Amino acid sequence: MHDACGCDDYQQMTRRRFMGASLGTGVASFLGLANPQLLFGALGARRTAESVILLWMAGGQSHIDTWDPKPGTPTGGPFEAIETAAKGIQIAQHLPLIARQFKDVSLIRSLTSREGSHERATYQMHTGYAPLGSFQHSTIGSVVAKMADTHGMDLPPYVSIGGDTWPAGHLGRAYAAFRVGNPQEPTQNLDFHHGVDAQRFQKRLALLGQLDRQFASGRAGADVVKAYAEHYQAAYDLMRSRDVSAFDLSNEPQAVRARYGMTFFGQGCLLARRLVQKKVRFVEVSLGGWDTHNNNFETVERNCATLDQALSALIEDLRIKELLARTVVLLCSEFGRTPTINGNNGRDHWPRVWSAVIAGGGIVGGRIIGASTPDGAEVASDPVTVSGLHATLCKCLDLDAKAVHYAPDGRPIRVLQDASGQPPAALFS
Amino acid sequence: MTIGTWLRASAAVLGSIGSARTWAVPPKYEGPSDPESKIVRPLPAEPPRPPRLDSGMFNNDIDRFIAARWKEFDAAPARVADDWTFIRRVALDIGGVIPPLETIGRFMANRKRVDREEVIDHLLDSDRYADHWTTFWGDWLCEETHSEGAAPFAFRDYIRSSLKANKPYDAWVREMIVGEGDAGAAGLILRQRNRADELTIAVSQVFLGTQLKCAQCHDHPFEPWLQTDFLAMQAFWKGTRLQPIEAPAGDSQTPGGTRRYLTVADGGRPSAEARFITGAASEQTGRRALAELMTRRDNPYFARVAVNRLWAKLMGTGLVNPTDGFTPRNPPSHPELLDWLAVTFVDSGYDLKQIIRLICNSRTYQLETRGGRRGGAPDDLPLFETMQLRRLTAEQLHDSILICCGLYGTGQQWRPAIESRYPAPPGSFLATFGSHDRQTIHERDADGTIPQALELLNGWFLNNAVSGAQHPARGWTRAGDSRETVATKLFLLTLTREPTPYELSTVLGSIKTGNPDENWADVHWALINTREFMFIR
Repeated sequence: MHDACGCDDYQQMTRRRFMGASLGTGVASFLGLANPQLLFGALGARRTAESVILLWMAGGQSHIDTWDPKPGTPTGGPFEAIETAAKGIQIAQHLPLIARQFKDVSLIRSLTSREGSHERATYQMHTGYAPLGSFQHSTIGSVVAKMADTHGMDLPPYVSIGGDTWPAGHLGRAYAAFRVGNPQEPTQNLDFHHGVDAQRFQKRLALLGQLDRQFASGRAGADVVKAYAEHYQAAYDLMRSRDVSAFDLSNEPQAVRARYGMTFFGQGCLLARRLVQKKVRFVEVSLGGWDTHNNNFETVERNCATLDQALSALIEDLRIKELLARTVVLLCSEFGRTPTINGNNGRDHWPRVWSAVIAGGGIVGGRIIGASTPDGAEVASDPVTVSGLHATLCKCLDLDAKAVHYAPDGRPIRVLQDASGQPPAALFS
Repeated sequence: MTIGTWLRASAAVLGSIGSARTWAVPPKYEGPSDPESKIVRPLPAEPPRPPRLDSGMFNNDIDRFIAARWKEFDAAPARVADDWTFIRRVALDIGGVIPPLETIGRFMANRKRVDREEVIDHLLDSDRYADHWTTFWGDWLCEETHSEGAAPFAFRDYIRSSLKANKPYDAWVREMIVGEGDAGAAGLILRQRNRADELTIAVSQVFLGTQLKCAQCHDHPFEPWLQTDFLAMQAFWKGTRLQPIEAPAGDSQTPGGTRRYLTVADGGRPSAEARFITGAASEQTGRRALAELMTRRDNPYFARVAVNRLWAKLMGTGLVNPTDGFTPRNPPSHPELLDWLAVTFVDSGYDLKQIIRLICNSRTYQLETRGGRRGGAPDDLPLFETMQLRRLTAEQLHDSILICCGLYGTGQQWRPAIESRYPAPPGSFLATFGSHDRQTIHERDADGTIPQALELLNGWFLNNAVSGAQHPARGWTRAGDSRETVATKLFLLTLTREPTPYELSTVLGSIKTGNPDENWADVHWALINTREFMFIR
């Protein structure tokens, strides 16, 4: 709605005019205002973000070879560092396109955790909890889907593109991710099969309804069976929803599709933008291949080509479409990789320090949070935990990080396992 | 929620982490593993004697152990399932597909009662047993079609042929740990790229049923495994290396392809730090020592974990849950039964088929999926008084659709799941229905999803399968069967039962007008979309 009336334009324009510190105070004092913030307040304070796009780098993305380069050190590897559009920030050489976008992008270089196995670390990053025996937590995506206002929304509030299937977790199936296997598949089976028109489809559904009635009642495990009927209904509703065309990438001009890169991940990012335009609250897009125990540099360079193109296209596109203010883009991985290069020219798992990239949703661009030691092995300053990262998302979305949800057995589960997780202040002011 | 309730709820959370769970284990038994000890109790020398019960019906000793716990809680079992239900269930469980009409005809026609033992033996002898269980073992061993250093499908073919030959399980596991034996035996080591840490995680989870991986980077948060335990187990893999070899004859490389072939070889000195978690010792070194210690009778986990996995697949819930949660603090629901199965397994020469045979022949396996009463049993104690309703796996669903549409093995497009690429590509039918990702060892997700519904409603697989020229309904119609007969046969083929009068009249009513081929396709589409098709009743 704001896009249509141009409110955002107006806010951007006025903010730019008053934002520079010296200029701001000058104008403010000219206007006789003691506190320039009041002026900002009147025009519209920082809006809360509405959506999250999580770009999941599966396998443990090497931090030294991407966002935290250490050129010329024994552990730095062969990649050089390049300048970005943000003063004082350098990243590794194989990410030149996103480097140009760094006025809007910030880095966290001091992520740290204790989990070095893929499964445990991935679980922790997605749910905010260390795995706890056989209790299954819902992911942060489900939490956002539940806590955000999804009134009147036709599309599923939480979509996962290309990632693993997660069990629904303690919040239940209603908030589980809608999985898109292949974003380039035009209709995701949301359209009738060719050879079946609307009338025949209705006839089939009617027959199914009559034949399917008796099965569930009284059987052990009946609730699982009942849930299946709900999915059919939900699927049918989705087919007929007005926003279902969001899934169809053929509605985008070819030039735009090419800009993102005709890769699974690139098209997945494009789909994420389209979904966020329709107010989907949490979209996860996965890019695998980062588990570089062997041949680290060749593989990382190759992956970066895909990543760089898609990520830069996404940030730029979100900015052009005026979605960046209300969309947090978070790029992260389950852990980093060892500074020491192993015998197979690879790097192994390293959770002691690694990096994440964050942009949009009210995040100030061009910042670095924390630092690693010169060899890239330990946190040197301002450690950020997984809880801190989730707390950052909650702050952008204006969700209560201390809220408690209840599992089916009555257990209270807080949004964050670790209440001490604090969002880094420098990202917000 | 009041503070009081919250505290009790938190205590429940903390309690399940911090303290051992008590199942109110029957007092007469020697006693479960000491919760304070690190390792589970050794396997008894003889199978525990089944309890003597005055009344009840038993097919074999499994039923006696199960019935004893029902008696304890005053629970009452469901009725035994009828022959139709039984034959469908066991065909899916052993062979992975619904019974084709020929099988139904062979066992059900002209007989008063089905000889259930005969059905079970027939299914275990068929090739389908190996095909179906290759999927599960593939899940547990993380088998991938394209694994670096191996020919495509090499590991899968190895698993399949080992199952087909009913290779003794201990020999099979020894082959995989040493990486030598039949062709493809190196599959496990190659799959894990000879990485000692990944191999340690894999073998401890699959064969020891323990989550040693939690102790990889730090002492286990709540079980007694220390990081030193992990490192000691990992040390067995030192002295193993991968060696390039010539491509096998007849290998068709893609032009410019660079497929390397590797084999497992010795290299470097084995580590003196290697120590098995039970503390047992071996004269051998390196991975050969691990293979011996893993499969020796004095390893209390090996046989128990294996039979528990089989039980969990067939009954829906393990005697130990989760199946990789074997610790003294997580006792089995039926400790004597678990030991009875384990010792029987060992004494049979580690015969996997024999255990499946015993379980499927038990009365407990053959109960209906409704009607049992739990009596006073705690909610989370598995009692097996009613058979659990289980959803078909992706492979069972895929292949069963092929069977009832007359398409099984009729071409590349309709090839069965066993011949497909694993892990299944995202967005494919198999992946949509939860085919395993083969990346880490975990249970498949059986939750329903919207994409699954969409796949069956609109996807090409089912829609094309029911509309094909070889669809059985067309053949029957051409052969002169009446509409009632065609409808009845469709029900038999698809749901393994006859239609009720209501269902028959509904179906006949829907095909009154219009193109007959399209009509039968629609009826079949509806039948396959019912939940009755999707679940093992």
